[in-house]
Amino acid sequence: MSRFSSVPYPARAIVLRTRNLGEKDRIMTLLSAEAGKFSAVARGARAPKSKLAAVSQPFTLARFLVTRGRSLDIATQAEVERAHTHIAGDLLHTAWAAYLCELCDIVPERQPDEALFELLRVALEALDQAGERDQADAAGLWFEARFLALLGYAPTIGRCVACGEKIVVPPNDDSRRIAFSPSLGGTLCAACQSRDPQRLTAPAQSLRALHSLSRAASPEAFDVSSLTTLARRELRACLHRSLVVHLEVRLRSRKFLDEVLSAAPCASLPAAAPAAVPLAATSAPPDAL
Amino acid sequence: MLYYARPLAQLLEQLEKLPTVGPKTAQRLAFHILRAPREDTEALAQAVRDVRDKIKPCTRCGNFTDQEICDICLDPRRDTSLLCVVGEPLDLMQIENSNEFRGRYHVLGGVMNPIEGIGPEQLNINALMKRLSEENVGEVILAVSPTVEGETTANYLANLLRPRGLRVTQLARGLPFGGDLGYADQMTIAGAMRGRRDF
Repeated sequence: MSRFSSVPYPARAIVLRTRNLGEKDRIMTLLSAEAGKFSAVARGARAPKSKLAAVSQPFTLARFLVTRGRSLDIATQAEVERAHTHIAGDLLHTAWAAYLCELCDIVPERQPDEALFELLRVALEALDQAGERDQADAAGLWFEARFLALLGYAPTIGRCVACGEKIVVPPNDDSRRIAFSPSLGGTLCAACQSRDPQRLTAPAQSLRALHSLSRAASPEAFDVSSLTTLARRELRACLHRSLVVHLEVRLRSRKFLDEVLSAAPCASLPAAAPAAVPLAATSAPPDAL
Repeated sequence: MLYYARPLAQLLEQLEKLPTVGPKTAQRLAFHILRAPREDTEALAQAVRDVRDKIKPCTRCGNFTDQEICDICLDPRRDTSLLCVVGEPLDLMQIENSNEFRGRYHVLGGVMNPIEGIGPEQLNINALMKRLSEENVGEVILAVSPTVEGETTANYLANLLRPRGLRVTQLARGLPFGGDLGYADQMTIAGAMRGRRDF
């Protein structure tokens, strides 16, 4: 089919972001499994009676009918599949969703990636269903870990990423701090720590969680509430630094997310709580700590 | 390249900077100005000059005004217990023209948009909190657009305002007047159903 064929094509897509165009139109940045990321104009979408008004909102999953345009494609029809209206009803959920959509917006245009589309779809669905902060955090952290893995940057946990030596931590020792290098992509043994001056140190519990998250099939498969407040914060730092180092972008929505996260009460266990349930070391794959 | 005398080219260049004005529309406007009576063009130029020189934000609510404090804020007939928070001065004018609201306003100067990097610190929120401390407001009406950005702003403000013991309300969501139920999308119908009222 020619690039400028007038035959409309269907696209099941998630609205990543929108910008106003002219008086009444919107430009949507869409992510679909078949066409990858692309932009389309929703004509008249800012008018209250427009049929495209509701569908052209960020985080919406919809089936579009799109016509090729000379510079921008035009969405002529759309039907909402999942509006994810509960996300917009909560500040933390909105902050996570905006951040995840901005992460997806960095991929190049017109490169189909079914796994990325599915990852975002599942994460937005989990955020929409999330009742409390733990569930929203689980969805966001799971997406970050899986996104890194999808791009080929899944961190090596349990072995030194520099020399390959196994890093052994007793299963009940959750608080031992281990060096983690975002740029080298994994944990570092004591002998290799100096290889990355920008390394972080994180408790074993955070790194075990990172390992589990990278492999979890869905956000529900990982229990964020088992992490102490400190472990959760350090897990977030490891994931965020890894994304910044590998993607070489600073996301505008991250600042907002950090502000909301610091303001929202955290339901997880305090740092020194003895009742913290460790991730079972025996259930983790051999490379995990 | 099209040839235009320098003053005409400059006018076209300026007109094309206006929203929704493309080269053709700019050309039509420029030739209209060129043929219009001199007093009309003088009046247009003076109006543009005046709007830039005299219009400024009201120091109390942020609405456009040519005084220190706008007419709405100074009007003693207004209900001071009601405060309607809007995103832009244009939204204020729309609500005002509905002749339904007799309280006062506060203009945020936009709405929060995390993806575009617009956070609460870029909005007129500190001034709103200061007003609420100084004025006897009983109800704050959040009149932002029913978009994700509007909802984000409304949620943020509601979290700030509720601890103050204020009544916080939001404009109703539902079917537009003159709209056809059969063509409404599921989100609008869901909003209308949630916001239904006794008949």
